[in-house]
Amino acid sequence: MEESRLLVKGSTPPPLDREFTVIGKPINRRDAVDKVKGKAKYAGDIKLPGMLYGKTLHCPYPRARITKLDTSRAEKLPGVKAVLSKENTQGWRTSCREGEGKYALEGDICYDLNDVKDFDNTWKVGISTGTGAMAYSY
Amino acid sequence: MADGNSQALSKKYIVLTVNGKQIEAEVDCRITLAEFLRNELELTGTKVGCNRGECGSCTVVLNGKLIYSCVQLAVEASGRDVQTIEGLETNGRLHPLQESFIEYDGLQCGYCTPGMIMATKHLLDTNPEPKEGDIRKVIEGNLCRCGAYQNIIEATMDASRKMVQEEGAT
Repeated sequence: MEESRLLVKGSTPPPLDREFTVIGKPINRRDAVDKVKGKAKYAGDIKLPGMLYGKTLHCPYPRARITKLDTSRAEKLPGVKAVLSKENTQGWRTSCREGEGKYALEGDICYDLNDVKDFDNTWKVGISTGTGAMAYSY
Repeated sequence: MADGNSQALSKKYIVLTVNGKQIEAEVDCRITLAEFLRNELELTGTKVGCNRGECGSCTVVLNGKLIYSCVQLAVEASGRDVQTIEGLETNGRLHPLQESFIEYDGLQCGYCTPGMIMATKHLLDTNPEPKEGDIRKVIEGNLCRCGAYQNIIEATMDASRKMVQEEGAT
C-alpha cells in the first residue's frame, strides 16, 4: 500500500512530443490473413510421406484393471502396421518423461488402481486404421 | 461387430462442383464430405473439430444450405454444389467478411474461423442486413473455444455494412 501511494505522487508527466508507431494503435494479427483464407496449416492438416495414423484405445470402464491384452485380431486387420501396448514397448522413451527417467507405457496402460478389486476385466483389444473399429469383451 | 475383412470397400463414382470447379472422383462410400475435401482435394481449410456434428468447424455450403460436412457422406454431395472457405477469395481479393474478421479480431487460434465465416457468409447472402440476434442465431451451431464470439458478431455487422455500401455504390 505504502509503495502504491508513493507511485501516484507528483504531477502528471508532460505529454510526449512524438507519436508512437505501435503503442496505442490497433494492429492486425500477422497470422490472420492465412487463417481467414483457410490456408493456415494445423497439425491435422499436414501430410508427410509414409505417415501412419494412430488411434488410442482407452479402457471403457472406470476403475477397471487390465488383466490381459489380446491384440492378435487387431494385428491381423488389413492396413494395421503395429499395435502398441505395454507388452511390446518396454524401454521406449517419450520426450516428456525423459527427464524423470521414465518410459512410455511402462506398467499398466490406463486406469490401474490396485486397490480397486471390483472390476477384474479381461480386455480384448482390436484396433484398425481409418474408422477405428474396435472390439472388446469383458 | 462385422469381421474386419468383411468390410468390403465399396467405391462410388461422384461428380460435384467445389468452389465452382467440377470435380470427378471415385470415392469410398463411407468417407464423409469433410474427409473428401480434406484428404482427396487437399482443401484443409475445412476443419474437423469434433467429427460428430457438434462444433461447426467443418461447416460448408451445400446447394445453398449450411451443413456440417463431417456428418454428410461424400457420395451425398454428388451432383451438388459445394462452397468452402477456399472459394471466398475473388481475383486475389478477400471477401469483405474475411477482411472484417481480420480487422475486428474475429479469431484467435483460427480453428473455428472457416466454419464461422461460411456460416456468416451464408447469412449475409440470404439476409444482407442482419440484426445482432440473426448473427447469434446463425452461429449457434459453431463453437469457438477462444471465445471470440463478440468480435465475430461485430465483424459480421461490419462486413454487412461494407457490402450494403458497396452494393449501393455500384
